[in-house]
Amino acid sequence: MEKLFLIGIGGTGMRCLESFVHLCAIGMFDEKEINILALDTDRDNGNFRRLKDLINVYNQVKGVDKDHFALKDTFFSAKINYFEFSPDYGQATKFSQVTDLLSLRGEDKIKANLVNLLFTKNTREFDLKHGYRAQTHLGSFLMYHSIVDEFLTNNNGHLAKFIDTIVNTASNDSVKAFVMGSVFGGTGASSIPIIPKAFNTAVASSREGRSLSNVYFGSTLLTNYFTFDKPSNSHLSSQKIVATAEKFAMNSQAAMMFYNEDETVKEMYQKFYMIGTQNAGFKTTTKSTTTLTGGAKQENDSHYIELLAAFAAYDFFKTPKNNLENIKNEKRGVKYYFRTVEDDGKLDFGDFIDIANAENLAQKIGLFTVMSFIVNLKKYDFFEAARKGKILKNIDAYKEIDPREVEALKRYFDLYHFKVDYDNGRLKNGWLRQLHFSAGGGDKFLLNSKLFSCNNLRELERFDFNKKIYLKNYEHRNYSVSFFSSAYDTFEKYFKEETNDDPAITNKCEVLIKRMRTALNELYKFTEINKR
Amino acid sequence: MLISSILIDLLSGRNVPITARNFEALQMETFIFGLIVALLFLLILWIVTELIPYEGSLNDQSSKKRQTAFYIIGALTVVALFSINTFKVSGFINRSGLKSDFIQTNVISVIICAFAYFLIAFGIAKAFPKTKFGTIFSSKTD
Repeated sequence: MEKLFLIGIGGTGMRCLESFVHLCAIGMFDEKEINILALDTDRDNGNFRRLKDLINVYNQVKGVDKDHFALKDTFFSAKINYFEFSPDYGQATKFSQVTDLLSLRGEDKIKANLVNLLFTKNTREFDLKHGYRAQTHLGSFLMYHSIVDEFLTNNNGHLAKFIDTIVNTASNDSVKAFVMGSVFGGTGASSIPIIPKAFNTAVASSREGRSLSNVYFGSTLLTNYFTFDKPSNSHLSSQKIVATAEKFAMNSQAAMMFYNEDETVKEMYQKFYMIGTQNAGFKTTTKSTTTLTGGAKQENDSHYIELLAAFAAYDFFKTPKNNLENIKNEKRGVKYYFRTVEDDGKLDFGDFIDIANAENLAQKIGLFTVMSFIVNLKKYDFFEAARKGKILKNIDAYKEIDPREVEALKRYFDLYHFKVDYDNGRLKNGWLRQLHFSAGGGDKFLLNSKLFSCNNLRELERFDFNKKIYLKNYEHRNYSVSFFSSAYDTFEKYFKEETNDDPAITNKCEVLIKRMRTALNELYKFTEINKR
Repeated sequence: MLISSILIDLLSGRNVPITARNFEALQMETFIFGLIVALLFLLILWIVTELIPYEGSLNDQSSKKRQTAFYIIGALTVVALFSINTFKVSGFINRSGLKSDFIQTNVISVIICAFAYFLIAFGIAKAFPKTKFGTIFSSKTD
């Protein structure tokens, strides 16, 4: 079982990780153990919290109080180990306090003057609790030292455990680590350049004889793709420094120049995936009326570009190790990758993955989406019914399934597709629907637009998921139902009569998930592509 | 042939004189006819159960509907056989002694039919528990 390492940094990094976890859930990483490090300065950030929630429910689906295993040909196949790190500046909340600038002024005036030259007064005095606010020169400095200090002083911390797992894995074989974040904001842009270097320094300082020379690094270079309202003057003066969307394009341009020129970065990384949108008009939704610098309310909707970033990680992890070794040995070092999409802006499966695997991706996303209907709608409530013995009475009951696992699965689909408020029948958009709207709606995003046009419970319950899941290219992937039957009835009949449990899986919840996937796979006639 | 010409002739409206000589054969044919009626109604039951869709959720009432269909069709089977024997077959028996004997034959035939209907249905349900037919005898308690 291959171990992969993934690091998400800042608000955008959290959303990229979210997309990546959904890829794990649809089964893109069979028999893989994924070690995820979520790194953010703002520990109260809404996106950070949403990611934690997502990974938590993912792992609960794989078993509550049970050992987790990486599986094959099923949903939730990858095993995920989650680590997180937020720099702790103790009582200090400003750069001047963190770096003890006042004492420096007394002891070493030259250094103090240098700091004053590089960091403006506002930069030195803003509250660091909500991240680096696009001040990357300050962010890189602080993050680098935070990582090294944390590793040296807290052996039991998540960060040390994550890096030690890399070190231990790298002692036997080469290891792939991928970093995700934006280059135009604060925390991500500050941290991507320094992560490999900081990890190396930390290991070299305290783990004798160990190194990260066997580790290949890749990263996204994610340029500006969203915007938000300008801060008011009063907000700006109270906060001192506020990231403004209008500067994101300039930040991106400067960052790209840096990544093209900086020798250290080119030496440390093997692959950079340059990702961006034609325009950056996507508006993040927020309940707040003021421009947020961070915190719990900063919970932005997901965007399809984050899925592209997750597929960049997928591509990197699929790269043969000898290719990465060759890149590492080349004088120029790092390679840059990009891909373009059609002018009409329509996104097909082949825009995210190599054409040969496009149908495979269609199968996984499509069937997982169908599963969200069968699991999440109370009308069907398949897992709870199965657990209570209502599906397979007296045959092969799933009564062993922990109710918490069923709840976690439902919660997962809330986050993936939709959450129904049963009091008023309204829907809350999950990740997939958010991605669809970010792509411009209509038939611009992977699946049938009718799927996304359901606006309430009634419409969802009437949705013919047997034939309206896919767009034209994959329209033939459907199943018909007889006059007296329904999409659900045909599924349940097929599930009971044509499929069996996988005896190799011990956790009953995962057994049921796999059997369900097998039934859907055959109903939608995907079986043959698996045999190819 | 399981049913010889006497019962077929009677059912198709041809008047065959029933005497003590062929009454025993008629009795045997009536019992076999009871079995055939049971099989025929079981086939109808199978089709009906297939037409009742699964509804999903904890309140899936579909197996109850199939159970109801089982009882209704079972009752119809018994009533139909009893009616055929009483109004169609018995009408052709002219001798009063044989006529009263045929009442007993009719009752036994109906009992055979009812037993066959229930036992074969139970056997099929247990042999194919994953089918919709199999849900007829699923337990009520979880």
